[in-house]
Amino acid sequence: MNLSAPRLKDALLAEIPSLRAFAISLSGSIDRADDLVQETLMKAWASSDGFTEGTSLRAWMFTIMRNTFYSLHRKRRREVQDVDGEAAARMVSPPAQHGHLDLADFREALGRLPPDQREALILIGASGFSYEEAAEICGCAIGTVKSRVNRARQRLMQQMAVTSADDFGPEIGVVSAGAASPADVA
Amino acid sequence: MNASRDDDRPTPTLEPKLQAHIGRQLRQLYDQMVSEPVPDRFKSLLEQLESRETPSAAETDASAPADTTSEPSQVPR
Repeated sequence: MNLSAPRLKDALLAEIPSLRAFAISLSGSIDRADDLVQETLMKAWASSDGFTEGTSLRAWMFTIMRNTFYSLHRKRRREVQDVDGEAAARMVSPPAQHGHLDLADFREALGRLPPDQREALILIGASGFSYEEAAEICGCAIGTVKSRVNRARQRLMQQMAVTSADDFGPEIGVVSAGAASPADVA
Repeated sequence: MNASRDDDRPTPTLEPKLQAHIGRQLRQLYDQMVSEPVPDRFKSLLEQLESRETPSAAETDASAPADTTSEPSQVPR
């Protein structure tokens, strides 16, 4: 343990927004996400000896959280037959701004992905982890993460291509009207 | 022999744009979640944990049921 209590507290505090975002995508609801975050914070505090300073605190905490989630999840599954995918469909809070219809579609499509693919995609595509870190967090091989991410993208592309085929075509550059990225204009 | 082509099968021409689109939406969604304000319960949880670690900072906190050794008077009947 290299971190003093006040430093540890500040460091954990700083990770909460990311943790919550990952928790929401794992658990599918804000309430369960926050319970998960709380559990993770307590475990991280209790086992801070296991953290090596200089390595990624975020990756370490994500690992704790993911393990916590899956052990709770297995327990819960034994208690209540949780309809998988139902939780996933409720995933994440309603969009803060209006006018993002296709973001809602996207969220739904994301919710329909198999959990392992969704998780890999989020770790790589949104949380900004490297494939190595994601593999460590998920306890699997780097190649497995890569293929999960690929399959997630393929699946989302198929769904998006179907659900928004009409919207695509010429409109694609308008998707993020606020910040039109020059990269889209070939 | 078996279908290992599943992952790298060439997809229709929409792919690069769709892929970029997916990437943007994913980040947009995630950024929304990350920018949610941190609930107070987490701050106070961490403060509790901290004060437990450094007992000098807090006096006796009655709320912590941590050690029962100090009060053997309460015997459940």
